[in-house]
Amino acid sequence: QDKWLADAQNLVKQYAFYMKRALDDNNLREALKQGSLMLGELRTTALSPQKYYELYMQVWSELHHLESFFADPARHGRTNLELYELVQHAGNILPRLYLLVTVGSVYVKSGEGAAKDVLKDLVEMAKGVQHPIHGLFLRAYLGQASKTLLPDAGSPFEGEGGDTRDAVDFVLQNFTEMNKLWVRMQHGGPARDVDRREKERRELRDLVGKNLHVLSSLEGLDLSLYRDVVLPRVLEQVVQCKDDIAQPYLMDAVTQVFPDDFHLKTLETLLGAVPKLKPSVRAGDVLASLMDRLTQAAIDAPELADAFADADALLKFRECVAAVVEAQPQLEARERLLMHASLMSFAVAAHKDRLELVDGILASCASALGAPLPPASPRDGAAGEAGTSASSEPPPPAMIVADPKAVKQLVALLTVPLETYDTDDVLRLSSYPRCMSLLQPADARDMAVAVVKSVLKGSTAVGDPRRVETLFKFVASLMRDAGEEDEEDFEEAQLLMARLVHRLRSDDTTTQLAILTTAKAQFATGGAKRLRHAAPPLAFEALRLGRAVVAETALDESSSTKTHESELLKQVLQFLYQLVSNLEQATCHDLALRLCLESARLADSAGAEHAAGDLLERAMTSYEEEIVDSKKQRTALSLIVGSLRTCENFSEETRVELADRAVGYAARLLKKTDRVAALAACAHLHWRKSPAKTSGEDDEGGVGGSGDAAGVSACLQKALKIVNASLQASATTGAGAGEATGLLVSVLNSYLWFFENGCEGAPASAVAELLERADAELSQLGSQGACPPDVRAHYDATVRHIRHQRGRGGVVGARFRDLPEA
Amino acid sequence: MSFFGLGRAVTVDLTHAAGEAQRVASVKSDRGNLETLPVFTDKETIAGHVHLSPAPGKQIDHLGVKIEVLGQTELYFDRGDAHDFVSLVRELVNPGEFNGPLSVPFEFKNVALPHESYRGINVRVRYVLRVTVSRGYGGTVVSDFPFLTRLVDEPPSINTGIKMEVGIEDCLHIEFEYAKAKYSLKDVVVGKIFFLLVRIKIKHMELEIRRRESAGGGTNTYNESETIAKYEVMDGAPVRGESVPVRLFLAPYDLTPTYKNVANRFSVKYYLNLVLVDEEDRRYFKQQEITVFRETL
Repeated sequence: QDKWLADAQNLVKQYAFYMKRALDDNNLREALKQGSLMLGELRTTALSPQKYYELYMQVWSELHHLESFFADPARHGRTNLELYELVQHAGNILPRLYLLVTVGSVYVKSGEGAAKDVLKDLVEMAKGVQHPIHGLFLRAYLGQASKTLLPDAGSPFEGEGGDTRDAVDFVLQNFTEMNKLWVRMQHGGPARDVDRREKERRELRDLVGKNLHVLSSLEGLDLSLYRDVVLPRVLEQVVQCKDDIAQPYLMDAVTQVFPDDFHLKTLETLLGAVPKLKPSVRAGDVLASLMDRLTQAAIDAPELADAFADADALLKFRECVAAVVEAQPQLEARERLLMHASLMSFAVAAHKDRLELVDGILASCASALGAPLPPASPRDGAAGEAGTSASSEPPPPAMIVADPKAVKQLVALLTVPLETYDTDDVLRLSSYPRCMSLLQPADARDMAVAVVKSVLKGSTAVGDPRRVETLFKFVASLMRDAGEEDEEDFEEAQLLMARLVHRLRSDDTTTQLAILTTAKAQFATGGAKRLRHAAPPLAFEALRLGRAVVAETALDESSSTKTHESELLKQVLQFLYQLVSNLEQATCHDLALRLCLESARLADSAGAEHAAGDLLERAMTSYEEEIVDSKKQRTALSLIVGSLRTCENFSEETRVELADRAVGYAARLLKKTDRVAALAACAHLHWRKSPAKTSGEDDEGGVGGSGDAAGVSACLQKALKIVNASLQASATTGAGAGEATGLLVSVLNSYLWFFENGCEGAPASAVAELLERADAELSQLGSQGACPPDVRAHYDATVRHIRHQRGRGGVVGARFRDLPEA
Repeated sequence: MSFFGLGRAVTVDLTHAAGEAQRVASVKSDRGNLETLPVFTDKETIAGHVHLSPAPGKQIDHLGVKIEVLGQTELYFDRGDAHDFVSLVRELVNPGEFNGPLSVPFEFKNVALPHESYRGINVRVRYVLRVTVSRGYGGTVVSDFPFLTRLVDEPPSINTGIKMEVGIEDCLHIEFEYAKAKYSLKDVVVGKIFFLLVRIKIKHMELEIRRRESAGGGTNTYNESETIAKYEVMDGAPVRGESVPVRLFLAPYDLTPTYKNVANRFSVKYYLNLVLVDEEDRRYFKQQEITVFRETL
């Protein structure tokens, strides 16, 4: 190749030299002869397009000399017409036509020849060159030479030389012929060279595309000319050439080269050509590129929106996409998605306010990929699986999108609405989940996570049960086990889902309840491991709702609403109850227990004693039966006790019963420390600080209270008994003295609290005795140097407190003064 | 012409009455170089002067001077068989003598010149003005002054195009059409070639102009064909449905009109031969007779 090129270039140089010498002598005949010889080198068939191009460029620059010679009649003494004929005497067609074009351009430029006639003649004669590469370059030369000679509007060649119509005809014809030659390069030659040929063709495509560019830059090209002449003929050529490379390239070129408003006004025609492209051509890319172009236009110039609407662009696009899908059953999923993604961008850019259009696109996208219809009809019910029903024709299997590129497309497609619309609107896109069902489980999950995130990010809450249901359809993939899933991802997703619960909120209590019920039902479908995550937020929302209802009840006077509200509350409690059951089934006993207690408090605050009692009882049962770990027991118990204590509306009987049970649990705890602490806490169950009447009095602190002093005393005694036992034990074993003393100090504190609050269950004598014992133990430990510092500190603080209280006035001060000074 | 090394006794020259205005044309001579000759057409008057100049200081005795118009057909393979179809004689000078330059006018009125001058492969038609100075003892001086005859043909009243479909079954079908069947010498062949079916790999296509000269008669017929012009009209392989334009200027080629039958001795015909050459250099062709005529002198 290189050698051939070098040889040819040398020859060209040589002939060019002789030619120029002849030109210097004004010897026309000799110049033409040498020029022909030089041009004859372009007849080679040995060179690749790349090399041929180099040679062509060399010849091209030499032709300039000839052209300027032709342009000067004084030098050759012929008229242009004579020259025009003279060069046609050349025996070989390729040199002849190059010369003819060269003379032709001079002929037109001189004003002697009418542009349209000369150009028409040239473009017609060029048909004689059927060799693809020769022809392409010859016509490229023609295109180049004629560019400034077109009888375009406003050009000096307009008028006698024709009008824009002639210019268009000329360029179109040249374009058509070039395209044919270009396409023909593909054929012939051994099959193994196909790749190389395609590469070569791509290198040459701009030669063809240049014509379109020339067309678009014609001043006189107006819409009607474009619509009636240019576009139909270009498209005809595109469709007819049936070429894999030419079709997308030219469609793309048309899209890029001509102005947007032309496209808008001729959309139908343009789109009409798309389904007619070869099946192997990626019609999707073509369409997508067009849509993207218009999308950009819509974004850049929002005022175009009306124009888009007038043109009904979106509808046309959709029809076209549908037609392509229809026409090409083998179309890849990626293509289908690409088209719809573009469609989506376009819809959003041009018709942001029309949600139904977006939904429609999703629907058609889903259909295009054969996504099963939502289970409206039971037969199609099996989501994501090919219909197996023997009756009627089975629907084509859905294309599950697995190709990473396609996945990206689909995700992009689905993301667009998320980014554009707020949650509420997105949830109105009923076909959204159908599209999502096309994804593989893992991808679907990612997508669902994105949906959830967007909902979380959004400003508006979802406040309609039906919408909630839809939302769950959107994120259905997170509610199902399908395929492999990373544990961590799962957790993360479920946490997001849990957060989502908080976004489901309505100001109307009834609605809110419905929402929660719906949500719970949805979560329940996801099985225990999902419910575990979802239950707390659900519960909290329910509790919040319950409290809101209670607050409303308190405000409301009318009895009718009151009954309604108490009904509502009942339902809330029921809901909570169910939630507890669910949790228990899910073996999340800790959670269930807590929820139970919270619910009990709610019930109590609403004055629903029975419910509260039931709930507490249930909690306790659950404690008994399910909580086995000692640490958990401790925590659970303290929760139970705490809850119980805050409940204010129990009858005395119930209270005692429950308190006793709690005490019973406390006594059965495994560790001494736990037992002591639990018992001390239980003591509080029997004692209730009298509610502070005014803030002033509250300052005094622990003035008094009421309750069952005996109960308090019993609990404290029990605690003290344990302490005693452990002290004795440590005395015999010599170990654990520090711990035992610590217990002693904490029991002392419990006593002190009740004492301070004036409970008879903790008389001054008992406190004084304890103080003494503690002091003794501590000093003994101190002498052994084994006194744990925290115990010591605790004790010291206690003593300080007593001293402080003693210094105060009032009831409390008086009480403290009964104590011996430490 | 010199005899016996004495040199020419008389130099004969001839001038035409029209002088500078005389039509002339350049043709190739026997030796291959161009010579410019006067041109006459049928029924023209050939007139002028014959200039006789004796060698200086010599007296010329002669038996009379005459001038002839001769039109001959010559068959090269049969040199002897020159056939005079025109032979007119004028006595210019009666027998006598002269010793200085002598100019004698001559005139042939409305000479019938039925055939065109022609130089072919086996045959030619030539015209001469022959001046003979007759002398005794072999001293006769004969000088030939060739001239050309050109005949203007009636432009044909009917000149329909040529259209024809040819091909090799399942291999190549083409249809060609030429706008005319009859062309003047300065004409342009305009046509179009349609490719209806192309199964062979065509490399290029050319249009040839062939001249077929048929001389003699009976068993002694000599046919010669020669290609006057080769004109490439297509480069590369077309596909079906393609059409290729043809525009061939006849002017640059050395054509003569078609001669149907010249004095029953020979005929000259022209053909347009469309040749397709495939990649293995096989040639597919179809030739088509055209009539060439002379529109102007």
